[in-house]
Amino acid sequence: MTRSTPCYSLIILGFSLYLAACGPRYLRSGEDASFEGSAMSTRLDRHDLEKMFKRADGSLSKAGLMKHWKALNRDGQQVTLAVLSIENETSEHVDTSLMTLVKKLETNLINEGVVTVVSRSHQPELLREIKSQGSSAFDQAQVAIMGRQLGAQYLMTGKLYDIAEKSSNGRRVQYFLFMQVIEVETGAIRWQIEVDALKGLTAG
Amino acid sequence: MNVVLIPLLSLSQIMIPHLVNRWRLRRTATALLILTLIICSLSGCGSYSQSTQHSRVALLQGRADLAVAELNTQLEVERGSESELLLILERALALQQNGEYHGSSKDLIRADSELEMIDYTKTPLKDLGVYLYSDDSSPYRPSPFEKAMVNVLNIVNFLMLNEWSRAKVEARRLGVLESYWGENLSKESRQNLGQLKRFVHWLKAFTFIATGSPTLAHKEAELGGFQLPSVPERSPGAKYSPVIVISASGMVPHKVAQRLPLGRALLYIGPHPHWSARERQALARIQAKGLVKWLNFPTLSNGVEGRTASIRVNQLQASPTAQVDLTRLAERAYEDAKPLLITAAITRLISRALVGGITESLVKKKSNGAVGLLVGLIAEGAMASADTPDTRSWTTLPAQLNLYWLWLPPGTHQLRLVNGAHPWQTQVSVSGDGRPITFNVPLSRSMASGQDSPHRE
Repeated sequence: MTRSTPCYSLIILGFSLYLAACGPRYLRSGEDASFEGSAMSTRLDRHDLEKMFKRADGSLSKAGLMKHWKALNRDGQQVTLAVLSIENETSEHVDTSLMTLVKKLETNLINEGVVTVVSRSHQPELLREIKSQGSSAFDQAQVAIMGRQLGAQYLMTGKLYDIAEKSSNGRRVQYFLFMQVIEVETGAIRWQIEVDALKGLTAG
Repeated sequence: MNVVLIPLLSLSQIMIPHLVNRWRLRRTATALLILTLIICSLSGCGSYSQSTQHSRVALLQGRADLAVAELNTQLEVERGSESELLLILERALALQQNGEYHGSSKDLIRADSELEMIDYTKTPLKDLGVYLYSDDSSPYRPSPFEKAMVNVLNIVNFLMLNEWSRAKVEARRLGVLESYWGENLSKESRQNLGQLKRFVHWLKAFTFIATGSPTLAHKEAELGGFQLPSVPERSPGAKYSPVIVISASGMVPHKVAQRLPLGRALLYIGPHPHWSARERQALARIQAKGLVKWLNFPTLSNGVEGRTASIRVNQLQASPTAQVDLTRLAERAYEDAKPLLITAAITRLISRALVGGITESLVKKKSNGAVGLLVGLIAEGAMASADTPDTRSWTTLPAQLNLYWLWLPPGTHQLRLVNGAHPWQTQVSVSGDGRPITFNVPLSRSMASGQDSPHRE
C-alpha cells in the first residue's frame, strides 16, 4: 500500500458524505423555518391564510355585531349564521385556499358557540340555482331568498380580488379580501372587513 | 456519399506519410476514436420536432390516447431536461383531445407557472451558448401566441368541466399577460394577436352568460368588437340554452432542423492535371475544411392545413362564430425570430471555425501540420455535429380553432360538424332550463354518432 492511499480514501469518503448530504429530504413543521416561511408561488399559502384569518377573525370578535350576538346568546336566543363560499375574482387559482379560509372561520365560529352555523353541504346546489336564475349569489336582492332557504338570520360572504401586474422585473399580485355579514331580514351589512396580502416573483 | 469520401481520400493523401511513427499513430488513433465517439453520440440526439412526430401523427389520426401514452413515455425519459416543459404542453393538448380535461388543466397550470419562472430566470451563460455552441442550449422561451394558448386551452378545459370561476381566472391571467405585452411587444405583434384576443372575448362572454351575468357578457362583446348572437324569441315557460361548440383542425407548422453544408461547392473543384502534389494537397486541405462548415438553423414546415367547417343543427347550416388561424400566428412568430436565428447560426459557424483553427495551430506546434489539420477538423466537426438547430415549439397545436355559438330551444337536436374527411356528430337534449352546454370537437374523428355526451352544468 502506498502513502497516498489513505489520502485518496479520505477524499473519496468526504466526497461520498458530501453527495449523501445533498439528496432530497422530507421535512416536518418546525424543522426548517426558512423553508416554511418562503413563498413558492404567487398563490396563497399557509402564511397568507393565517394572516387573513387572524385579521378577519380578530375584527369580527371585536365587532359590535359579535357583542350583539353574545347578548342574544345570554338571553337564550342564539342566531343562525350561514357561512358561504368566498368568490375568487383573481387571476390565480386559489379556490382551495379560499375554501380553507372559510373552513377555518367556520370552525372558529362553531367552537365559540355564540352562533349556530348552518351546514354548508347544500350550499353549492343552492348557489347554482340562484345563479341559473340570472343573479349573482351576492346580489342584495337574493339575500333574503337565500337566508330563508338556508334557515339563517345572517349570511357571511366574501370576495377575493387582486391587482396583478407583470413587468420585465417581476410579477406582483396584490390580494384584497372583502368579507361581510349580511342581516337576512333587512339586507343590511352588519360587519365588513378588508384584508390584503402581497405575493410576487422577481427576476433573478 | 461522395461528399464524405472525396475529402477523406484527399485527407488520407496528406495524412499517411506523417503517420509512420507508431507511437504517434497510436496517440492519434486514440484521439480520433474518442472524438468520433463524441460526434456519434451527439449526432445521435434527434431534434425536438422529430422526437414528437409520433404524437402528432397519432393526434391527426384521431388517436389522442396513443399520443398521450407516447408523451407519457417521453416525459419519463426527459424528466428534468429543457424539453420537459414543452412535452407537458404537448401532453396537455393531447389530454384535452382525449377528453381528459382535469389532467389537461393540471398540466397547463403547471406549465403556466413554469413559464413564468423562465420569464424571470436570467441565464446569461446558456443564452450565450446559443451564439457559440448550440441553438437549443438555452431554456425554451415560447412565442407570445403559444403563451396565450396556455390560457386559451385552459379556458376550454374549464368550460368543458363547467368550472366557470376557474375559466374566468384563466381569462384574467391572459389579461395580465396582455397588459405586459402592451409594454413589451411591438404594435404589429400585438395586432397579430388580435384574433386570439377576440376569440377569448367570445369564450369570456359565454362564461358570463353561463354564470347569469348577461351585462358583463355584453361588455365583453363590446371589448371584442362583436355582437352576441341574439336569443330567439322564447316560447312561454321554456328557456333557450346557450351552446358552444369548439372545434380544432389541422396542425400548426413546426420547426425542422436545417443543416446547410457551406463547403459542398468546393467538392466540385477538381485538381488541374498539371498541378503538383503540393498544390493537390492544398486543395484537399481546403475541401476538408469546407466539409465541416455547416450552417445549422431551424426552418418552418408546412404543417397540416386547418379547415373551416360549418355546423349543421337539425339540417340547418351555421358558420363559425369566431375563428383563430394559429398557422398564421406560428408563421409570424417564426418570421419575427428568424433574424436572430440566422445571426446565431452564423456566429456559431464562426466560433467553430475559430476553435478548429486554434486547435489545429496548437497541435501543429507539438506535432506536425497534417495531425494538426486532422485534430482541428475533428474538433470543428464535433462542434458542428453537436450544434442542434432549435426545433422546439408547441408542435401539436391545431392550425385553426373554430367556435360556434348556438341558442337551442328545449328538445332533442342533431349537431353535425363536417371537418374534412372526419365528420363529428352528436345528439343534444335541451331541457328548457336555460343551462349552458359546451362541446369540444377533437382534431379528427371518425363518424361515431351519439358517442359524445354533452357537458352540462
